[in-house]
Amino acid sequence: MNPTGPLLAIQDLGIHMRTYEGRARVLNGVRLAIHEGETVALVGETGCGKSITAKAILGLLPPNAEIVSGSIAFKGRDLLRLSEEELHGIRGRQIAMIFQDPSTALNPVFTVGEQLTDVVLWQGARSATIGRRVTPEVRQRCLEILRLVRIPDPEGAFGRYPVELSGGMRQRVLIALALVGRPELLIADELGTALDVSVQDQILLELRELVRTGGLSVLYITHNLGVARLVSDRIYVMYGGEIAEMAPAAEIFRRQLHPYSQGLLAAVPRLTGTMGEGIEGRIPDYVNPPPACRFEPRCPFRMEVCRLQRPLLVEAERDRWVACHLHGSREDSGSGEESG
Amino acid sequence: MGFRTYVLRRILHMIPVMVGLSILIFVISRVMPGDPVRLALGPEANIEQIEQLRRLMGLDKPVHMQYISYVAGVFRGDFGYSLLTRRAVAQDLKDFFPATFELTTLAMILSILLGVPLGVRAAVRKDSLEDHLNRVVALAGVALPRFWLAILLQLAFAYHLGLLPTIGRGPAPASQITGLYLLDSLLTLDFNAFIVSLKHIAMPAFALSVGTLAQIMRLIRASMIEEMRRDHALAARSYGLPSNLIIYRYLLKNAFTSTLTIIGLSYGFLLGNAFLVERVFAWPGMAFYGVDTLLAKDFNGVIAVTLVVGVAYAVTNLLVDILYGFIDPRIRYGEG
Repeated sequence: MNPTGPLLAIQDLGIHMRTYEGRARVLNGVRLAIHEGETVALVGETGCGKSITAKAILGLLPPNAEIVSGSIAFKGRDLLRLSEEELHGIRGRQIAMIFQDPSTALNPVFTVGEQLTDVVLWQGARSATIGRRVTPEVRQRCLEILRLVRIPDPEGAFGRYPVELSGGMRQRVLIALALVGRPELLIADELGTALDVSVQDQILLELRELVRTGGLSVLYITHNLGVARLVSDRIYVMYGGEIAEMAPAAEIFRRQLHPYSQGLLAAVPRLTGTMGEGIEGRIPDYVNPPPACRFEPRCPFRMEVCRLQRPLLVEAERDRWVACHLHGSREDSGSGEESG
Repeated sequence: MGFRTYVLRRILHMIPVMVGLSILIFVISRVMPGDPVRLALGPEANIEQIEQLRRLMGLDKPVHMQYISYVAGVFRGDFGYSLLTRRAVAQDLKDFFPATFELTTLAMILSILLGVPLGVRAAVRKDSLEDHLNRVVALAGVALPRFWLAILLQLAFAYHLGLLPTIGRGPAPASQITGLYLLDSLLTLDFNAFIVSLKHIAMPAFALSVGTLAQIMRLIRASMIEEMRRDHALAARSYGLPSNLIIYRYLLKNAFTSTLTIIGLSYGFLLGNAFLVERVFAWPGMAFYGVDTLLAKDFNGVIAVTLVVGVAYAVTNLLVDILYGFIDPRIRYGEG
């Protein structure tokens, strides 16, 4: 671990949602850390709790969500204990988020320039006044950020409505909106998923460059392990609202410890061979989750203990953490001499 | 499509609407039972007199010829003569229409100025006690007949409290420019006349506006709640934008587009309801004239009233369409 501590440390985060069916336990003891300048990916199926985790960091959970346990420490301050006002000061300027769907995350009735200008002018302000005073400096800052995200004609895009832009351009505008406040931590939710694969790759690579040159820390949220590998240093695999496995990006591709990670990787289609296998079954019921290991009903290696005892996230090998009864902690198994 | 092309197209679209409207009105007036000539001349008239007046009014010609000469007249500002008031219908319109126009327009302005902020407030405080109370009052507002509310207002503010005059429009301002008392007195800087006119119009305008106000409030509330759930609302919060900016600029502009259509339509309801409210407040507007001409089978009067109301309605909706295109770029690009 970094001696100064991680930039963001999520500990034991538990979130319940009140639904018609009952209380859904959507996050169950999530643990995640992002160090300064590090790029981390959170990978899992749709509905595994990735987006909820992201929204919890920014304090943008829906009203029916309830935080039941844990903490989210950002630079040592627990975001869960901050007032709405304090969070308001952090959003956009310290932690920013790139939204998933470029066709819905931009306001359709304001031009790109208006939306950018408002962020430059009013970010973190208590309230806005009527009308915008677009000084040359403000305009310059907006054009500069549009250029940074490689929008070909920044002056032209400035006066356009989202409907006049292509999906790729809209996605770039969303990135610009997130970056314009110069945040330290960037959360990218399914970046480019709504776009053509070629455009997606291009945008991901561009953002990777931006992040590296800017020294930003990033949390990528994706269902696509391929994307995660392309952009991140470390990967967290999430299943059913829990962290199943954490490993350096390169290593998890070589060998997966958790059976779910194995299934997830097998499901990635390849150019050679077949479509990929996929995993039997579906994501767990959050109202009545499996009692111990949430993956147990779908797991090909399930054992008696999996239904009785919840597997804890332990460091099974150096820098590799897994929550599965197949793997014990390396301290316990006696292979932990080098940990000191 | 640029904004100018959009506006031009909207205006062109109005032409067939107006032609259709005029034909419809004309045909309806000709198929109404009863003979206007006999009604006008009374039971004592002889055949020759009747034939003479019929020729004079052009009623002996085939219907399509009557229509063409009527339309030609309208373009010259000639709506024919009224059998009821025995003067040019155009003159009648000039006297009665501004009163109704002033009343309905003020009611519309009131509805928007009160309905929009109340709707936003209700949406922000969704499911609170205040929200529930607002919704009950709004429902009552939609359900309550205007003339009934008008009578209650008269009882309270005129009879018991004596704050406002019971009926009428009050004295006309010294100089009449538009025929709208409020506007005329403002234009001539005659503030005393303005206050007097305002006192007279306050109750009828409010009574008329309540239904539309409630409707606008409910619509704004519903569409604001919908907008708050959208991705771009959450995104705006994630950028650290202040909530007043998000609610009153970002979301309200979106919510307002869906309400605009209804505003155009409700102008028609206002014109219709004005006929009732004008009766209760003895407001010298189109209602008096319209109902009386209808009962007297005064063709020219009826057609003129219907035409003016129809045109007012169409023009309002044209304005709404233009505003719509101005606010929401997606309309101009034929999407959404």
